[in-house]
Amino acid sequence: MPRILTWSSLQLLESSIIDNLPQEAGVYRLSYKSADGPYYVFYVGQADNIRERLTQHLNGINTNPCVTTYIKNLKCYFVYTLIAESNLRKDIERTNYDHFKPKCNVQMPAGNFIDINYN
Amino acid sequence: MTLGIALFAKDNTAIIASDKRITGGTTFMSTHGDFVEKIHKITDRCALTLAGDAGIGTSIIDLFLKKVKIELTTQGVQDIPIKEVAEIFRSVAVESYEKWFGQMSMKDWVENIKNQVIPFFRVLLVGFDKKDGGELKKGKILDLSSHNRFAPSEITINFAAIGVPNIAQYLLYRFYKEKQDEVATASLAAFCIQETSSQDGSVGEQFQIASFSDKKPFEFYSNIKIEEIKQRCNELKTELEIALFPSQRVEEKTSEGNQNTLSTTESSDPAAK
Repeated sequence: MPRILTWSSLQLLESSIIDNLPQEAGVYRLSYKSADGPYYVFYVGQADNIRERLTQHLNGINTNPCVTTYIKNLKCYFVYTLIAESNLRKDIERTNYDHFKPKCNVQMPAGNFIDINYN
Repeated sequence: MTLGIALFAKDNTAIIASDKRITGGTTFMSTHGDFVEKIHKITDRCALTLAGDAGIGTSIIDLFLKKVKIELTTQGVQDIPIKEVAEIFRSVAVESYEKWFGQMSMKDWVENIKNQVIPFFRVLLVGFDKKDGGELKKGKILDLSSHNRFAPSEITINFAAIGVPNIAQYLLYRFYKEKQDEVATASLAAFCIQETSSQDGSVGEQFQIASFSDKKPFEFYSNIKIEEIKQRCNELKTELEIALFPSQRVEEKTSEGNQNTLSTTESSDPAAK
């Protein structure tokens, strides 16, 4: 049985939205909307503080150049799920990485693949 | 200058794209507004884009379109093969040049173009020829330039660019794929124009695109479709930029005893460490 996670809706990556997020730990994905319709994931991550980390991405702080390029060039979106337990966050991040094969994750995240839902 | 591109997508679809900026050599550039129409419909199965002296070019194209119309009426048809179209263009262009600039030997003609005594002007024709003497199905691109007295030069690949073609040709050779869908192919043409524009002010960022096929008549892209194409251009630009960033590399274990060092220790969140 997959572990059932509560993912947020897809939201625009902009400060007015990020500023209202909880300051809690969680796992997130960044994506852009392609001209042909689908949203493509380009980065997955996890953080002790989702709001702070997404703000860093938006402002190019502690963010790799690949993520910065996507955010600079395209309208980007995010989803997240709040997860307090550190090891579980790492497992979910790794599972997201295996599933979405994001272009901007330069190295494979720590953690193990687990059975989860993605939306 | 200009950048005009003609290329083929899947389903025998011809795409023709051009920027919309007018320039007078290095004398002036209409950077305040890119509004010039450089794509002309000839028939529902044939079109052209021009580069060079826009004034002379437009005068000749006006005469040429009238002559094509007469030819269609005379033959009682809607379309004629691109090679016939090219021949009409050549005869109109040469006749006009000789009328306006005097009779010239080929040697004088070439010298005069080279020394800018008479204006330079070039078109790409894209359309269809008869296949096995039958229907208009064989896609072709022809290049007609004042440099060689408008002799139709057949392009032997599925794309061509005129005007300021260097960056476009690099991108086309790198990214053009045969039988790719129309939107992706049109996006590549638009991307060529935008990238050239970013490096060369004589090519405008704004562009127009039209398409047609052996089954679908000539049509300019709507503003909505152009906006979609622009978004795709941003995606292509992003793809090109991120292609230069390092990707994950896994070291192979060697006889010297190196370990397989696939890292599993990276956290994407420095703050989480």
